[in-house]
Amino acid sequence: MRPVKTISNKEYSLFSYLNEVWKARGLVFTFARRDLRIQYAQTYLGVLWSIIQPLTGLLIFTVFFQRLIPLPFKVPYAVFAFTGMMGWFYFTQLVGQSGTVLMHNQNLIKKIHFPRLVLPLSKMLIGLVEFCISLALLVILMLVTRTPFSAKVLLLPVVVVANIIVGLSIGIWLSALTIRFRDFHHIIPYLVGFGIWLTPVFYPTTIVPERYNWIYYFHPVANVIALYRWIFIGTPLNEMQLVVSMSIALVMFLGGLVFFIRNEKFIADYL
Amino acid sequence: MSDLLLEVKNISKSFRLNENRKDSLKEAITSMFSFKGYSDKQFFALNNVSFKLGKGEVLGIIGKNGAGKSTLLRILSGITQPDSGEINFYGKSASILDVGAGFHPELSGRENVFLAAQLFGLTKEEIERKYQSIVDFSGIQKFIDEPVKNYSAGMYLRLAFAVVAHIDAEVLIFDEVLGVGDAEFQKKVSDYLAATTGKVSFVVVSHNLGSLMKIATRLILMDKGTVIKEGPLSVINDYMDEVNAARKTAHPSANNSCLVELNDTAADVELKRVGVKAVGKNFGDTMLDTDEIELMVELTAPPHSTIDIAFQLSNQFDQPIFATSSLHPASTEFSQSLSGTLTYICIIPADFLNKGMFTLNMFIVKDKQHIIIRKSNILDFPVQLNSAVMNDFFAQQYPGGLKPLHRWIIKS
Repeated sequence: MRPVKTISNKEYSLFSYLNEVWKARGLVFTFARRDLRIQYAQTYLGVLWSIIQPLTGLLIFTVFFQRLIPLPFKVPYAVFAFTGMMGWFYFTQLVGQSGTVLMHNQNLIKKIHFPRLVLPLSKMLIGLVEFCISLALLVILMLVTRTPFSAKVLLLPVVVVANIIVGLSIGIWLSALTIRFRDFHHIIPYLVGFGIWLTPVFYPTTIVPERYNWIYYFHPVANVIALYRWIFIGTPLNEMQLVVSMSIALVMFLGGLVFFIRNEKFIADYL
Repeated sequence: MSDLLLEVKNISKSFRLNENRKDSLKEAITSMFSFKGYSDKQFFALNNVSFKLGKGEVLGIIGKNGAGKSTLLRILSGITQPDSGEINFYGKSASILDVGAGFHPELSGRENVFLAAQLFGLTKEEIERKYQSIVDFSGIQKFIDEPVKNYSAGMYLRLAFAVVAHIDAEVLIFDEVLGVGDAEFQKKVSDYLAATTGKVSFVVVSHNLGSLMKIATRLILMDKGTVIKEGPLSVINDYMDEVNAARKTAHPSANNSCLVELNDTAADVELKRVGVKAVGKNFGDTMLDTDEIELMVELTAPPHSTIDIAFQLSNQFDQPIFATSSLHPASTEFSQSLSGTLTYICIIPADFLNKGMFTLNMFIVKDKQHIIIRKSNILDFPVQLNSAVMNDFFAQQYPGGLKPLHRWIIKS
């Protein structure tokens, strides 16, 4: 007689684990819906907050930097800044939320068995909802400022996937590491807070002295933002930087996945 | 067993003792550069545990706190992994460690049903199919779209249990949950258990033997991470009696165990000794159910304060049997604000405690509000049947912690 389920100390293989996650995919959506509902529960403005937040960010950047930062291309500054903000905010959302999601759901983790990867994945989905709201705002902004669209916009899904992989390449590591070492919990705000200055979100890379340009080979988020700008406003792309940094992100993402799966069985013990 | 549903084979799990756990990054980094590494101090939460569960069985797992029940339960649920050994399920299983686990207070009853059922592995289509039946079972149709934070505790439990009852598992694993809730909820649970008898197999973990006795077809007694006895209720009861008898013969003059020197000081109260004996006998003499039992504590109290004592007797499964304190109105003759060396004596009437092993726990309360000393498991003492007056055919068999004097009246 073949057992329906076996529990032992055997390691999950990557494939069998991902298969379990696939079977539990409904949970990814359910958790995402749960968190969205809770996020706006008992708020008067509700989902409007998801529009207000990027808009205030845009307003502040535009007011402060429009005159200070010269753009080398013929694009309204607001459109330029917003294409950077979109990618950056989704990235920080993935890093910040998946870094803390296991700790926030510890009551659940201690009581019920389910593939834990579902939790960071649900955060990915929530970020995607907020990203789509920003995207709609960008389209409106481009129409209002009469910025022309190019056919490259059709590549958007690919760029979003790159954005997700770059976010999770750090987020999954933090997710698993925070359980073991709470220190990482304190690292996240620094990463998000200082990272925006090191990333060309509201300034173009052209104002960075050339001798520092090598940094962008190791800066996947900067290249994701460059991709957004390339498809929306047609700024030039450094293909070499893109390939190198994306390869780094991909390796880190796969490594993080393996690390998460290997640590999954200890998660409940360390919470 | 042809319809074997669950087989647990040689499960072990150990934890490193807390002092050796590297919870902060600094400790992990410093330990990388030292040759000490992890110390070998290990604590076996489970040591080579094996058992089987057949179709229709209700297996009760009992043991004191720290016997390894919770660890076993977490492993059976897949929440944590064993270090070695294997568990095979030959049917769909579900673990309920907490009624309402997965429920979120901000979500409506309907949303919570979907969330909780999905966590138990049901697909959306399955839940939609069963949804009406779940709501009917819970009996809260009217409030199903309200956030569950507005539910009463009883409604919350009923809805959560309604989900559990619809998982359609062949093996259900429960933790203590059968004892919670109001009478209405209890009735729901027992109706459900009665309706599923023979169809669903249960593993129920509890330190409350009383609640298991009614439903379990077989029991496993655990202690210090191992299975020490397995069998029907009578086997476990006999075993307990044997242990008690063995303990008695091992310490014939059990003076030490019935009079304990504690020497503990807190808030200027110096605790000296605690003892239990039969009134008119010495410490260590046999205590019979027909004796008055004296609980005694000696301490030194500081001036200008009131020191009170609370005693609690529990059985071997940490289940409280009886509790009392000198704060009780019935102890008004007790003089207030005495200081110096004091002896507190509580007399429990004869014909009150049943035969069995009792554990003494104690609190010391200062000025009627602060618990300054808490002592658990100070000593264990046996109470035996007085065979001289044993004229009752059933006397040996009465379960329970108490056997108070009472009367029977038969009318025609």
